[in-house]
Amino acid sequence: MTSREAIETLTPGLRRYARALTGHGNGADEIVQATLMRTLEEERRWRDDELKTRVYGTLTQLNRQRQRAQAVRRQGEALPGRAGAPAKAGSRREAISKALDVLATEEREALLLVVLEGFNYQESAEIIGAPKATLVARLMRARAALAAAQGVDPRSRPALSAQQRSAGHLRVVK
Amino acid sequence: MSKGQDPVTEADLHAFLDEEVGPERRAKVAEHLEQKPLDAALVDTWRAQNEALRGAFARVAREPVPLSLSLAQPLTVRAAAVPINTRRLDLARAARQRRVAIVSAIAFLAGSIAAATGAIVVQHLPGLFRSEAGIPATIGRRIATRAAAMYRTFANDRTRPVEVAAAQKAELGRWVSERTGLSLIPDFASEGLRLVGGRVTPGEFGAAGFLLYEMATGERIGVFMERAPDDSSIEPLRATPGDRNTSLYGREKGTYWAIIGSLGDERWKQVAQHLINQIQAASP
Repeated sequence: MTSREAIETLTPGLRRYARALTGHGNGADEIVQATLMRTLEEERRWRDDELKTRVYGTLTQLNRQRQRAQAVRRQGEALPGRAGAPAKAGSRREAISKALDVLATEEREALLLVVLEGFNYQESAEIIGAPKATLVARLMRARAALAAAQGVDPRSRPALSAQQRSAGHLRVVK
Repeated sequence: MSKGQDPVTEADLHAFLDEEVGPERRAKVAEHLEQKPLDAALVDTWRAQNEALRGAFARVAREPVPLSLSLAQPLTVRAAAVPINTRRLDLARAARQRRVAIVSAIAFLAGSIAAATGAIVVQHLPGLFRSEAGIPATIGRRIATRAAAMYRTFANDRTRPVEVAAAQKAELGRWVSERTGLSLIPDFASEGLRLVGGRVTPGEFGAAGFLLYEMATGERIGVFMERAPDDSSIEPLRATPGDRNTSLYGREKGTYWAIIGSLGDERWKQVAQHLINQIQAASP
């Protein structure tokens, strides 16, 4: 059985992941709380070495459910979806957290797990519940979209056209 | 083209950045990047993204975890909601008891330290410490914390512990007086403490003065002084055990003060009383 202390050591990282995943002050801590409660219910089924990816997986799932619920609500209210406008130049940090908004949820997950939370490809793939190749494809799209949103010109590279980006194949660049 | 076999792909560039390639492949990608500045620039762009992302959210992981996320809470709620599952209740109780035991141990330790330092001082200063144990920590405590931070920062600084040295005491006095409204550089020569110097620092309400003194043994103590705004409530003198250093703080004639450092209890008594006397003498 997993120790409570082991779960608690994950909380700061979970909060960071949730904050970046949901956007600022947008219910991130509620998702973390729901994740912790779910973890407490299921903990006895998990081995210590899989605890971390399991907990991150739970948070990822809960966030997806929430995003879907919000999307449905937005449709019902006939509000425009996310505009995906590039962030106005503020501090570079503000800019990047706003730029995250242009990413699809799946792309954001892949990017944040690898870059922010330091999981390797295999672990990240387990967390998102997809094959490694899918994880890598999403990561690649996320980085290209982020660069575009931040005004770094990716068009100097034909390999990164929007069309190809959405195709999500691994491409030869040479 | 890379001679037909195993060309470097965009996925390779990502794997290179994310350290997901073996040493052989890594060398090949590195070589590729040297020859293709556009691809190298791309990797640099991603690397900059990584740094910006980590920088933007590093703070979150350092924030204290809110109480609502403490595991004690959801667990207690669950235990109450599912009374039949006694195993979970037992677990909850065991966890809580463990936590209580730890907290008690910490409290006991902290108490011991307090007893060994602050409380001894309290006993030695019955006139100054008007049995204020129950009063919640407020301005005085914040000032003591502030003084402790300054002490940690400046007291052992080898390059520049003070901004203005004791040799320019008159200048130091003018500066502190001009910025803080306190026309006093306390003197503790009778306690065997030599002025090292001081500086104007941020205080709780405005500018404050922080002065360093040194014993013959090289031990230093810090004195923090800040003029209290007129509307702030009067707070009696108290002692607080710092991390390793004890501090005394209080308010006298509209001046918040704190002394911090490691002195024997007798010394604390003399130094504190002496400081209070000097503040009283300097105030109109």
